[in-house]
Amino acid sequence: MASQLKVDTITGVTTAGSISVTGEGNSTTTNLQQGLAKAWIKYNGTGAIAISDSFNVASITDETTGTTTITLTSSFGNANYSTVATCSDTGAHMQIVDANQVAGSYRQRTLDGGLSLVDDPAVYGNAHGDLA
Amino acid sequence: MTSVLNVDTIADKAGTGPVALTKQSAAKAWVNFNGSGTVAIRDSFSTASITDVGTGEYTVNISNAMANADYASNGSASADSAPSQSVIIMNFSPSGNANVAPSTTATRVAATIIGASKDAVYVHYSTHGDLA
Repeated sequence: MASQLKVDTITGVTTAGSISVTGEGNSTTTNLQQGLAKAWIKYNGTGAIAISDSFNVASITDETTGTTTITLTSSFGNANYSTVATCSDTGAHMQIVDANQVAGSYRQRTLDGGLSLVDDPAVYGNAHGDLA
Repeated sequence: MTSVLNVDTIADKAGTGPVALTKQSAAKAWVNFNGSGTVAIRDSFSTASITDVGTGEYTVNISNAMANADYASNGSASADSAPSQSVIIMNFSPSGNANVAPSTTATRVAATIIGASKDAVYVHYSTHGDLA
């Protein structure tokens, strides 16, 4: 019979922020906290930019055409977290992250085929790393 | 009343299999690395190493093998703070001008600008799928 555990919070005993879970192949364990996305977002980068949906995102700032800073609610422990971004538009835009990444925020840019900055109506991003 | 569960490892009822995270899935690996000059990992999870294959071309080697080669990989990159940053193409070799099939422990990552390979200062990568 399947069992189900219902709790509000799970904390490691040996290390509060570290819990191992068994992998799908039943042979490897992986760290639960390390695998969880710490932030994700979908936003409209055109006009008055607006968050469509998000997790752990306090706000977004329209820096200039095609350039948006994403400010996190809970900061990472350092600036070395991994952020991945993409976008969708009929103009064949491409989404990149840039060097302006700190513990509490990071910046995404949208380029067109000619490498010019351009606003995009559907921009996506997620971030993995260690929270502060 | 809120409840807190304190544990180090979570497995299924038999003690050897995975548990389901309700309607969620954790990343199995992620990495943030400097792909320019001597390639160097800034921070990572389940990433054994990065192989510098050539200009703008890297192999991400995963510590805990995936169950098969059908996992999802994504990435973003930045060459510098100017708007001419690299974009990432998965499973492709610019030097060989050919696709490179992923294995359960490695994925080829290409950083390019339009029409040319280019080393990227900031390369971000993450993987979702089933562990072996």
